[in-house]
Amino acid sequence: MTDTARALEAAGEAAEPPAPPDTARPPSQERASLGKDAWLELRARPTVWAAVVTLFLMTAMALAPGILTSLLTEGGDHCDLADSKLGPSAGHPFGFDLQGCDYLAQVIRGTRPSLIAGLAVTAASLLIAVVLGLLCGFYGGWLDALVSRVTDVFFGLPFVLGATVILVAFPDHGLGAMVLVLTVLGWTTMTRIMRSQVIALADADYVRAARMLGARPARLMVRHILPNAITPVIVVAMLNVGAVISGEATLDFLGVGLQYPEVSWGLQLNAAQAFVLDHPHLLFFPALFLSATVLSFILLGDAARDAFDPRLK
Amino acid sequence: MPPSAETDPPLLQATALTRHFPITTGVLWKHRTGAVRAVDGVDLTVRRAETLGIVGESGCGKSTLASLLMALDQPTSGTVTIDGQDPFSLSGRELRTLRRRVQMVLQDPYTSLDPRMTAGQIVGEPFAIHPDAVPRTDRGRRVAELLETVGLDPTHRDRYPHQFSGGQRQRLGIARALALGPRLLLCDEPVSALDVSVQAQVLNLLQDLRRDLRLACVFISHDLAVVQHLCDRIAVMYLGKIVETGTREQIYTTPRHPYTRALLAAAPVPDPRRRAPDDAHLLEGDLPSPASPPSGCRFRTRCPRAREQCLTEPELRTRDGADHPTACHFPIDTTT
Repeated sequence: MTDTARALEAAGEAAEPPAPPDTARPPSQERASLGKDAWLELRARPTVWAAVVTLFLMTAMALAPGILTSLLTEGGDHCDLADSKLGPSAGHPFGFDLQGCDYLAQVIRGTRPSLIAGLAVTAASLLIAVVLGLLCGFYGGWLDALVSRVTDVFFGLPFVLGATVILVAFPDHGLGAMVLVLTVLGWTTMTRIMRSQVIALADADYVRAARMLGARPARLMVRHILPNAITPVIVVAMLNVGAVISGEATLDFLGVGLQYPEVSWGLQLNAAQAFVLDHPHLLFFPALFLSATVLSFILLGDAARDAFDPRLK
Repeated sequence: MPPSAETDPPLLQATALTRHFPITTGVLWKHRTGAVRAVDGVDLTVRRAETLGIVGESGCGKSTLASLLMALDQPTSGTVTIDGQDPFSLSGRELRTLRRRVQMVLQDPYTSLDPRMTAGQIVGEPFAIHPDAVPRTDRGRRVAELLETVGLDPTHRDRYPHQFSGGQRQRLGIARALALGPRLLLCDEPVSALDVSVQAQVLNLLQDLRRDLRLACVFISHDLAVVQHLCDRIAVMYLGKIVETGTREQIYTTPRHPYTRALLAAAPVPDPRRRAPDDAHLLEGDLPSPASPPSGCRFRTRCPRAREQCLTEPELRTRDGADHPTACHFPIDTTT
């Protein structure tokens, strides 16, 4: 007779209590969840707060550039060619640009396209990644083979070359075209991560149990696999926002993105390049805003990764 | 066993069931070079309100057999009949209805519960999948009843799985399996992931449920003591085949297959004076690979009674239904 058998008899004599209190691991009184844990962890980091404050300011500039401009500068969006390239002065803390417009006002106006591109491209890529990743990872077979090879092809396209070729084909390089191009070149990484997560989870015991209960594939994917697979993809998406914003600025700078008279940080950097030595403020301020925004998204993504990664706890 | 059980049609029946996993080589053009014969010709029958134990070493195909019996995996050949129906020929809707009658308790309670669902959601999920099983307004009450049935506090329904102990988690898994009122519960090593003290509690719970709900059970285990405690009949599995089937008394007191006797001899005996004689029957060597099973009788490589006939002639198939079928050319004579 084994240990088990003896334990069986012992327990049988002891008339098993209905709900044995869990002495090894007493359940905490609060409803703890991964999300709550992550929030507690994030709250304690100063870099997270710095990033949040920066992004809050950037969002305000993107949403209400007019109000901030009139508050922070004298004359707002008024331009006078006589002021061209003047340095910072009272009432005009960033100086003036080539056309003699207040540079702070111009930099504030440049926030919107960057944020829109970053968020829209990431949202679109995330949607593609979740849908394709779920279908490919869950069903496998020819669909998975096809999508994986297409992913490889797009993953292999060099970013600047690919974007230049596509954008030159669009006569009107509006923000819509930019979002499209950046999405086409940017959906692959998240899709791969999502697919591998789904493959790992499709055979999980709790998915098997739900299958056993008669759950349809849609339920297995949406209720069981998606919530457990999405976390690393969300982290990559946050990192991706920063990458997209700098990519958008790169294309503007190279002259294949947004065109004058639209306003963006990349266009301002482009215009500044001829005057960097004599008028460094033209380069410095848009570069500062661009770097701060990109850095904030990357810091947030990094922090989210640490917070959600159980191995780092 | 009540007398009517003998005449009722069996609740679960498997006939010549096989499942071979192909072994392929090649990068671009895969071609088949062999097969792992995980389950290779299994016949078994489970009658109503009866508990059948399936015992065997790790790797003998027990879990693959469980997947086949639960229609989670397609057999290579052979048939499964659940309550008179072939699950592999049913439409999706009919199969879902059939699933209400057979449910499964999985081995590892740490991986079998969705970590992002609360206890109430986990136990209530069967009702969400089968909305016609219980009216929406009664579901909350029914979930509370189920939690109580398995010995959990219904006020803990908002807790997440990681807030429960291993034994409590396995109780959740049992409550989920019971939710739709199945006639048959398949337990795939339900206690092997638990501490010994907790094992006893969970086994006693299963024992009580089986009696109170008149459940038929298939109990898969490698632990002979666990099986002896719970089962009416026992099937011994070796390398994808059932080598001996019999009642509990037949298997434990008069085993006929040398493998069964070796398994019984290998079980630790807590009485030092009774130990020595059985050592003669202990097995040597490892389980042969199911990708290339031995010729003739599968057990011959480790069998103390093997003779020339075992090398060439396959062992007999254990047709279920006979009194005490044994797949051996030279079974141990039980009359002496």
